[in-house]
Formats: sequence, structure tokens, C-alpha cells
Amino acid sequence: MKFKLESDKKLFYSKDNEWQEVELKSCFPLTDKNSFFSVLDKEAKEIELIESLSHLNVSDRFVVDEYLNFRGFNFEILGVYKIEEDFGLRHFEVKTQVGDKAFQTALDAWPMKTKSGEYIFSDIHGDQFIVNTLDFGEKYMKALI
Amino acid sequence: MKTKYFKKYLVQKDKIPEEYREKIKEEIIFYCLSDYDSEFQAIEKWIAVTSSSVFICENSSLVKIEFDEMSVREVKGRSFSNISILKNEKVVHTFWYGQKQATLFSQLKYILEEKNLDISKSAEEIYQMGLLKPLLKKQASVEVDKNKVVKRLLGYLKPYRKELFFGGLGALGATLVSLLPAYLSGKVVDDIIKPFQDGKMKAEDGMSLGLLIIGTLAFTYAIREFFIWLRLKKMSILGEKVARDLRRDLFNHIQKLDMDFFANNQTGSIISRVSSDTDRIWDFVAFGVIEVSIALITLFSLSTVLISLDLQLGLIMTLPTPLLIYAIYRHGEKMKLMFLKCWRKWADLTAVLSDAIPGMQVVKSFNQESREVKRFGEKNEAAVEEFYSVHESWTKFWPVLFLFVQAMMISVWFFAMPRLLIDSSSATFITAGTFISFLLYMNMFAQPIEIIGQMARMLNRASSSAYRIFEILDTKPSLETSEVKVEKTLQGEIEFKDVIFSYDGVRNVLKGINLNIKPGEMIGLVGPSGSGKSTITKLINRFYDVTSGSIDLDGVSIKEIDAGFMRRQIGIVHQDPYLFHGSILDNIRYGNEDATFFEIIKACKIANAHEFIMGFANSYDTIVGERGQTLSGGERQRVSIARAILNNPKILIFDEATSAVDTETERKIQDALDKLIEGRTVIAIAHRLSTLRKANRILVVKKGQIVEQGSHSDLMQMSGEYKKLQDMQTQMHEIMHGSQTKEEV
Repeated sequence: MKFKLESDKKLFYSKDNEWQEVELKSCFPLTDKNSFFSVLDKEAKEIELIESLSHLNVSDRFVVDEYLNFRGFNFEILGVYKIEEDFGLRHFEVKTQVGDKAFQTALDAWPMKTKSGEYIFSDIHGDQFIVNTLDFGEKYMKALI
Repeated sequence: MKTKYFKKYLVQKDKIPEEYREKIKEEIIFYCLSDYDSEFQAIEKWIAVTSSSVFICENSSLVKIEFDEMSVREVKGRSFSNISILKNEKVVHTFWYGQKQATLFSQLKYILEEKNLDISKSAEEIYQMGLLKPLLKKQASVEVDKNKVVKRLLGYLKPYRKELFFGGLGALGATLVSLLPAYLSGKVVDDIIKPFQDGKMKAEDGMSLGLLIIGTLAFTYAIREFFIWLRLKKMSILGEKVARDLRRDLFNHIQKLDMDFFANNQTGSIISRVSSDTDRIWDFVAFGVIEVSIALITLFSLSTVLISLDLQLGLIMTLPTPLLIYAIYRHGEKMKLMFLKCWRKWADLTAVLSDAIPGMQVVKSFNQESREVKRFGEKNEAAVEEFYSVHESWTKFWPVLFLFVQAMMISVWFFAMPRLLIDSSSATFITAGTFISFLLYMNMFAQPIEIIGQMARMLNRASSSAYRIFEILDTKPSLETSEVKVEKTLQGEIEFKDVIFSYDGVRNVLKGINLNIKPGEMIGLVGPSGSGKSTITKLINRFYDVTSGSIDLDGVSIKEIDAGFMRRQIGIVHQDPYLFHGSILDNIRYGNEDATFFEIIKACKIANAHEFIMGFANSYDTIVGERGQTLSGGERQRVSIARAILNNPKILIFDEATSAVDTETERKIQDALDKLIEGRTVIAIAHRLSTLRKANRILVVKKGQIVEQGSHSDLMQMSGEYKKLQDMQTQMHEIMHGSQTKEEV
């Protein structure tokens, strides 16, 4: 079993020297994102189940980590500039690890709390914004959560 | 409005920059924005599609890629995805994008993969709608201007000027009359008690004057109650009338809207606009408008009276008023957020209930009662904690606020006391009666301040409800209408001429359908899910207009035929028919209220429904429940067939009419349908090919095109798609048959 990644993060998998396009999906993305991955072919059929990434060799592990970082990237809220209400919407202006972002949730939507204690805000376009800690003391976010 | 959305919410340009348009020099049929690079840093790279090429526009420069030998591939991530253009299987360009752009990039992928350049909407419209749709779904497509919305809402009061006048008169009268008792109380002290105690008035004179004032007081209270009654009666009725008018306009308008509207709006959201939002408007009109007006009048009158009674003491009471109103407003906002949190925790609690109680059998069978008790207990505690916070907040706020009001009163006492005790000839002297009036007026101060403090919140709630209602009222039916409407009795000939149809203006669901169906002909439509079969039938019903091409019924374009008149002559039998809450009788004659009992029974006999209906205790008067839930799927289907028969349609559409029932029921329904099709044009979509045995022609639809057509035997000889489907079903039958045999063994 080997993996390679192209510049557009397309993952390829090889067994017996034949490369094919695959997707690697976590079975428990919110509960345990570090174990149990399904390797799916173009038709979304599972061709391999990886119990732990530690079973991969170093170069494959590097490739898979890079792929998973891309696949599972979420915006992490590091600070809050503004939270405003509008008709049917709650508008956020926040600081994230990739710069300042504006997003909107439905007014009656609520952040989901994961088992690890993170809060996930899902915006109306499908992005997820994670609050890992409340220590940054943003009063609005604290009040909201 | 669009500019505001792009600037504030989407934080990107509302169209491709003009400099790129000028440089491209070709007509742009589609464009979108790649908003990230491979390092997930924000960028601005525009991708524009013309009839021959793709242009990549970034930093004022262009890269042109010809369509030839181009292929595309997509990689999706949680937050970022990309589409790459490949030539000779090598990636030549990759466009990275965030979720906001996902709709547009999926359209780009479709255009590049299918080389579909026949796009019905303008590039700008597609770009803007692709980004705005999620926002507009949550908000509305009308102008967001609170003042305009409230003004429009108040326009609904116009027909009820009389009620409004009397309601307003009642409010004004009650407010002004309420000011009298305090004044009269002061008069009693100054003009009766004081002169009597000073020996300047006889007891008899004092008594007769006192009785006159008491009588006036009694009359004042009676008048006040009369005015209050007048206000409550007129305004609550006025509120009901406005809410009724809004509900009526809303429901009437909903009936005129196209299926497109219902596809884009959730049923629950539409229902809540007709019910909860109009109810809020009633609340606002009946009490909000008038309460706030009364509070303003009261506050203004009180301030005037207090200042006119005594300038110094009056200013002590009135100057801090704006501060108090602001404090109440802020507290209201804080409470709103706290209640939102409470509501959320409460929802968590009820979620446990609605999860555990219906699933009690599973809970018990896994012996998990204690786990559920613990889960419920946690949510219960969390909810109570939130409610504690609410109580802690308001129980702190109001005493502090009233302490402040009382401090104002103490200040009044403080400044008044020396003036009460100085010589009566002094310029600053204040009489005991005036001071008593003042004290009584001061006690009336708190209530209007509280109401005005809540005004912003009340106004917000009402304007957001009005806004949601006006959004529907402002939605225009999207179907093109012709000036002259033909009310044509159909013979049943249907012709599709080069019909192309797209729901979003980019992805063509039907790609050039040409089809002629003769009156009385039966056509079978087969093909995989999503191939466009149901869309064909929806277009015949004119639930949507074609994107290009035309559909004629008996040689006349359906755009020229009155849609209602036409639809009455088209019967549809769906896979899961919809029955209304009511009796079987009501449901059967839904489309033909004049049908006689004899005609109804005859229709039910043809539909093989009469016998099972007679099996119910109340026969045809049996109530079917919401959506017909008290009937089985097959029974509902046969009632819907009877309903269709009674309407005597010239064109019949069966949309998977027998696919959700067992074999015996299918046989009964099929038998009913066989009787129904005689003398009518029939289009039947079927999953089971055996149900199309009577079809004159079978059309195989695949990816929006008719790929094969002919009789069953013609199609079998072609060895194409139809034969594949037939073989697959034969194999399935054999497998089923085999397994049954094994079970029997």
C-alpha cells in the first residue's frame, strides 16, 4: 500500500503497482479523527480500511497527513471583532488562523459542542468555525455560547 | 441590497471587474471567483468562460485556455476545494475556493465537462444568485428598510380609520383623564383641608366642596374606564382585522406562486409566516402601536404637568428620563440573549424527551433506563442554570432601577421640604396640595418609561415579521404570461419542440427533447433516477417554463393556454398521492365539487376503491386524517385515481403510480389504471417495465435526452439501454424467485 499526492491534493493509492485516484475519509471525524480511515475509490467503494495511520511508513504518513490537513481544514476562531444580528441572520467578524473572516449563521442556529469540548459554528454556506477555547475571553462569544 | 450583501456579508466584489471584461473582448457567459490559493490565503482570481475559452484573470493579467482537449477534476475538502484543468492528463491550472463559492464552481465544472455553453441566464445573474441564495433563503429578497416595512405595515390600518380613530381617542382620553385624580387630590388639600384647618372655611362648605370633588373623581374614573374599554375593544378588533387581511393576502398570493417558490422555501417557514408572523403583527397593532403611543403621550403629559406645577422639581424628575429609557433598552437586549440561551437549553432538554420516549422500547431492551435518566438530568440542570441566570439578571436590574427612580423622588422630597416649610409669601413656597399632586404624578412615571424602553424590541419583532410576510407578497410568479389566454378544451396532442430545461440556468436537465404524442396514445417513460422523466411531466403541467424550445398542446403553445383551465384537464397520479384532511368523499370530489353521488361511486368502482371504502364504518364519510394517514398506501392511491377519474382529464400522467405497493395492490391499481386510460393521452413513468405493457411507445430517457424509443419488442431488438434495464429486472425477479424457493425449502 502506497500513497502519493498531486499538486491539487488529489490522492492516489497503489497496491500491486497500479495507481488509482482515491479519497481517504475519517470514520469518526468528530469523535476520533486520528484513527480508522476508509480508502474509497472513484465509485466511493471501500478498497481499504486503515485502523491507524501509525501503520503507514514514514513517507506515506507524510503524504496522508498533508492530505488530511487539507481535507479536514476548519477555521479556528482566535478572536471576535463583532457579532451583529440582522433579519434571520447572525453576522460574525472574527480572526482565524488564516486571517480575518466574516461569516453568518442562521439566527436560530446554535454552535455544536463536540465531545472534546470544542464549539463548532456552521455558517450558512457550509463552512465550519471552531472555538477551541474560551480563554481568549471574548465577551460576545462567551455570552453566545 | 445586493451591494450591501456583497460588501458586508460576502466580502467580495458583486461582479467581475470591468478591466477584465474589456481585456477579454468576448462575451462572458459565466464567471466565478477563486478566493484562496493553495496555502489557504485569500486571493482574488477570476475565472471567466466564453464560447471558446476559459480566461484566468489575476493581478490585471489574463491567461487564456482553449477548450480543446481540456478535462477537469475536482478535489473536495471540508473548508477548501479545488477544480483543476488538465491537458493530456497533466494539471495545468488549479483553482482553489472556499465553501461560499462552491455552487458556482460546481456549475463551472459542469460547463467545462459537458462543454455546455447554452446558458439561459446572464453571467452576472448566475454569479450573484450562486452566492446570495443561502443568504436570501435565511432573509428575504425584498429591501431591508425597517422604516419602509413599518410604514407599509401601517398602511394596512387605512381601511380601518374609524376603529383607529376611536381606539386612539380612547387611548388619548384615558391618558388625559388619568392625570386628573392627582390634580384633584392636590385641590382637596389646598382648597378644603388646609383652609378648614386654618379656620378659613366652614365644615359644611368644605364638605359640600369635598363631595363635589369626590363626585368629579368618581366621574373621572368612570370616564377613564370607558376610554380604556373603547381603546381595548377597538384596537384588539383592529389588530385582528389587520392580521386577517395579511393572512388573506398572503394565502391568496401563495396560491398564485409557481412550484419554483415552493421548491425554494421550506413548508414550515411558509406556514410560520401565515400563522406566527401574522399573530405577532396583531400583537403589535393591537397593543404595541397604541401602548407605545400612550406611553409617549403619558410621559410627555406628565413631564409638562410636573414642570408646569414646579419647574425645579419637574426638571429633577424629567431630566434623567432618557437615561432610564436607555437602561431599560439595554437590559431588554441582554435579556433577549439570555432567553435565547434558555430557549436553546430548553430545546436540548426536549430533544432528549423526543428521543427517549418514542424510543422507549429500545431503551428498555438495552436496559439503558439509568443512562437516559442521567442524560435527562444533565440537560435539566443545564436548563435550570440558564433560567437562574435570567432570574438573577432581572431581579437585580429592576430593584436597582426603581432605587434610582426612588432616589429621584427622594431628591424631590429633599428640595421640596425647605420650600414647604418657608413662609407662604416667599417666591419659592410650594403648597402641600401641589406637592401631593406632584408625588402622585411621580408614581405614574415608571410605567411609561418601561414601555418605551421595550419599544425597540417590540418594533424589531414586528418589523421582522412584517418583513417575512412582505417577502412572500412581493414574490412575483416567474412563469411568463401571455396577454390573451386561450381556454382550450384539449384533445390530448402533446408536442415538445427542441425543449431545453434547466432549474438553475446552468445545468440542463433536459437537453433538446423532441417528441410528438398523438391524442389517445400511451407513452411509457423509463430511465435511471435523475434522467429527467419527471421534469418532462412537470413541464406538460406548466409547473415550470421551458428554458428554450416550446411545448404545444393541440398545436397551441402552453404559454397561451390558461394554466388553470389546462391543468384541470390533466390528471396526475403520483407514487405517494396527497390526500387532504377530511372525508374520503371530500377528497374524491376535490377537483369536481359538482359531481353527483352516482358519479363518485362509479369513479370509485373504476378505481377499485368502492369495496374497501364500504368496508369502513362511515363508508365515504370516513375521515382520512392528515395526509390520508389512516389509509394504506394502496388505498390512498386508489382514492387519488378515483379523484383523477372524476375530473375526466384528457391527459393522464402516472408518476411511478404503482412502485410503492405490494404485488396484490399493484394488480388492483394497474387494473384501475387500465380502465382509466381508455380514450386519453397517457404518459406513464414506471420503474417496473412490466407495468408499461399497454404502452404504444416507450421512451428511454438518459441524462436529459431521449436515447431510445419504440415498442417493447423494437427496443428489445435494439439491445440498448432498454434491454439492459429489462435484463436487470429479469435477473432481480429470478433472484427473488430463487430466494423464495429456498425459503420454502
